[in-house]
Amino acid sequence: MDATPLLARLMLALHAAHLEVVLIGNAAAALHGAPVTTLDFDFMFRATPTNLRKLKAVAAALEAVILRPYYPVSNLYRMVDDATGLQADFMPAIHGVRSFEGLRSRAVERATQGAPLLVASLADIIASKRAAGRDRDLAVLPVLEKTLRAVQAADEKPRLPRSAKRPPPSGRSR
Amino acid sequence: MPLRPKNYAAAIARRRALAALKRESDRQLDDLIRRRLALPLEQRMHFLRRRLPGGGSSL
Repeated sequence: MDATPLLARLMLALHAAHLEVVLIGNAAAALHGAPVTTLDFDFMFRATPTNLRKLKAVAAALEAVILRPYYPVSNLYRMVDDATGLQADFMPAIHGVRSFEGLRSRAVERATQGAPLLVASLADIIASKRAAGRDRDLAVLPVLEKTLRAVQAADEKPRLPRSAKRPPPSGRSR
Repeated sequence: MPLRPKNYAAAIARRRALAALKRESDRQLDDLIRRRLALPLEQRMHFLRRRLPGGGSSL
């Protein structure tokens, strides 16, 4: 299923509410090019009282509901709209990532249908899944690591042949 | 009396076949990733699964 309409609608609502989030999880990995699928969008955010008010405003704008965490310590906020099939999890803390600021500084900016979107770096996604250590996280790790290697290989500038690196002749003549 | 079991050759052949299968599987995955990376962002958006009423999910 094409995630563009749902994600764009969600990101526009988040942007309108000035709520800063970073997309993580398999959805973020898929945007980096990893051949993975997911049922929901996962976001990291700062769970300040102001941001929680903004999150409620976003849910109201999208006619979605926010469910309280199943396991209260996890502090997970799940936004659900059965009519559109939207499910988005907002987490103030995730495995393998120390701070929201760090995650944000390494994230890459994308835009989907005019909606700005911060996507966590693939290295952070891998670190998070490795630290979480759940079976479903470990199952996708080899795919994500292969994707990271492919991205890094694609980003590397083509190397010049050795002959091209030689300094030009100094111009001295015997 | 033979020193090796009767199915020694078959076991070697099976091990080789499985190794070749793994290499082929890895190559296919590399190829899939390469094709995904070649796509623009708008065409990498078909990753969302939807829940089915009776349980399970589909793309």
